[in-house]
Amino acid sequence: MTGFNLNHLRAVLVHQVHEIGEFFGFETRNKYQILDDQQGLIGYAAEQQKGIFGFILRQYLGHWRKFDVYFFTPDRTLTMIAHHPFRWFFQRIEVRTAQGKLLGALQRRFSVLSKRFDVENERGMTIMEISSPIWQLWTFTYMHQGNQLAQVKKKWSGLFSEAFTDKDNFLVEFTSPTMSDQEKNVVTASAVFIDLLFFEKKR
Amino acid sequence: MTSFDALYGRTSGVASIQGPYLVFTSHTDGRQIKISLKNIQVSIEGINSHHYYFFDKANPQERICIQDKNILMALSRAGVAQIEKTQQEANSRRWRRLALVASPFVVAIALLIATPVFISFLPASLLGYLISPQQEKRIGEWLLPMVRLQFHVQEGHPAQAKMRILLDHLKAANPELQELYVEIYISQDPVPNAFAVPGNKIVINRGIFKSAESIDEIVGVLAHELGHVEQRHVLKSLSGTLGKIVGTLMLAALIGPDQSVAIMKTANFLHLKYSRDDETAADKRGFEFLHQAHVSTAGMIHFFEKLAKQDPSFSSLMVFASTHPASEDRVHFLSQMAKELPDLSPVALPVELQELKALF
Repeated sequence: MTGFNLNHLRAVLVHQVHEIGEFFGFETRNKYQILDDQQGLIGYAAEQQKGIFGFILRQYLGHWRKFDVYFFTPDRTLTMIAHHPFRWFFQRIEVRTAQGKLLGALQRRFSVLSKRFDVENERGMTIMEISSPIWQLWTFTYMHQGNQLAQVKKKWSGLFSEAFTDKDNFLVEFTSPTMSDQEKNVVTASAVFIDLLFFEKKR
Repeated sequence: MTSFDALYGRTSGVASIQGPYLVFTSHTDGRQIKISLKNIQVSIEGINSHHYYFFDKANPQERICIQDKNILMALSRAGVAQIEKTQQEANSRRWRRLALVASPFVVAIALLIATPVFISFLPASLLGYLISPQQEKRIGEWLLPMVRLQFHVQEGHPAQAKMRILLDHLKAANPELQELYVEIYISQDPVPNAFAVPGNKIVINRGIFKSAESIDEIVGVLAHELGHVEQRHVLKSLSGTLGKIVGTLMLAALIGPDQSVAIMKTANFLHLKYSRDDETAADKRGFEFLHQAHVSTAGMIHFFEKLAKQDPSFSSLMVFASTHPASEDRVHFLSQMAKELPDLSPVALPVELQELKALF
């Protein structure tokens, strides 16, 4: 299995790198740094922009399109790919190694007032569930059999940035020590996906 | 032997019924967990969907999770007694969830349909709060070209000025009318009729002037229409019509045009009752306006007597399907009012019948 080596980590910070275009209302392709709890660089994630057509699709379709997010190690080696297939409803992202081996997936579930997801393992079985109620817009808790395994929280990066860009930081906490490296990678990838799904909007 | 994807904790494996046991075999290390079918218990859990947890009642910590609902069928075939209860519970949860999920949509659709119909039954007094006289005036001005076209309204007819004088006579004696700015139009329609349009506009057909036998009849008709204007019945009628149209369209989109029209026609019968009530209320107010202005109410009564004679076959059933009460009933109602409110000493009206008839 590849992906990042998150075995020893209890938390990672997903930090979006903003581009100048965001100040002028253009959605440039989303790029993130993934940092450990000492702010050391673990890797990068970047949505793949496929030329001018991809640029146009991003501007007008948002997440109603197929796209991939590539995860790289600090030396720019591709380690993981998160693939978002096109869906009208119930968005999904599938996390694979660079070799194509499925690590897991995040599947949106139907809900009216809250945000609900299932985290699936490589066999499509639900190993974690997320239900983020409407009064907790910025927190996503990953549960299994009533126990919290992980939590993704948005961390404010300062008033100025929040007012003008959708530059976000996310804290991904691995609450349970029983989480495997594979599960941690899937949760980290899901944090990036959640950002793309919910927080890629101008205020 | 049917096998199912299963989890033990978060370790994936496969579960199958082997003899008297439900057996979980881990993919990772081949480790097996066995649960006796005699002691098996089932728990349905999960935030977003149903997950079935199987455990031995003597050892509830060791739980096998199977997310495929066909496991219940397999266990039932294997003779596990309590599975039927679990299936019922699962079905019940599923229906409850469906009802919970569907209820906002059902409520939204019901409100979408009910709201225009509800609006159509709002009393004029409430509509008066919602729609200001200025807004009503703007609606009237917007409708006026259509009214002019449909009812052959003649602009600047000399009878308008004469009717204006009679209107001022009524207004002078009735404080409630003094704030109202009313416009009178004359239509070339030969049918003896008059009606009010939003924005305090009254249209009187040529037929009224032709058939009138006294000036009191004409003033009576004017007073009746002023009753509608003062109580803003026209606004209510307009919202009722719009509500019915919108409601019919909404229903047609859901259940088809024929069925929706049938439903709205039924609802329309209720509306006709409101319409007849409004006519009676306008008769009453009109009578009161005449009484205050020292105008003989006999003219108004006589007008409806003539209408009643024109259509003697008007049965009670037809009343049910009519926007207006039967003329006989109106005559009876007004005659009762005349007994309760006998005419005051009449004053001469500033316009004579012959003056008006000469203009047609």
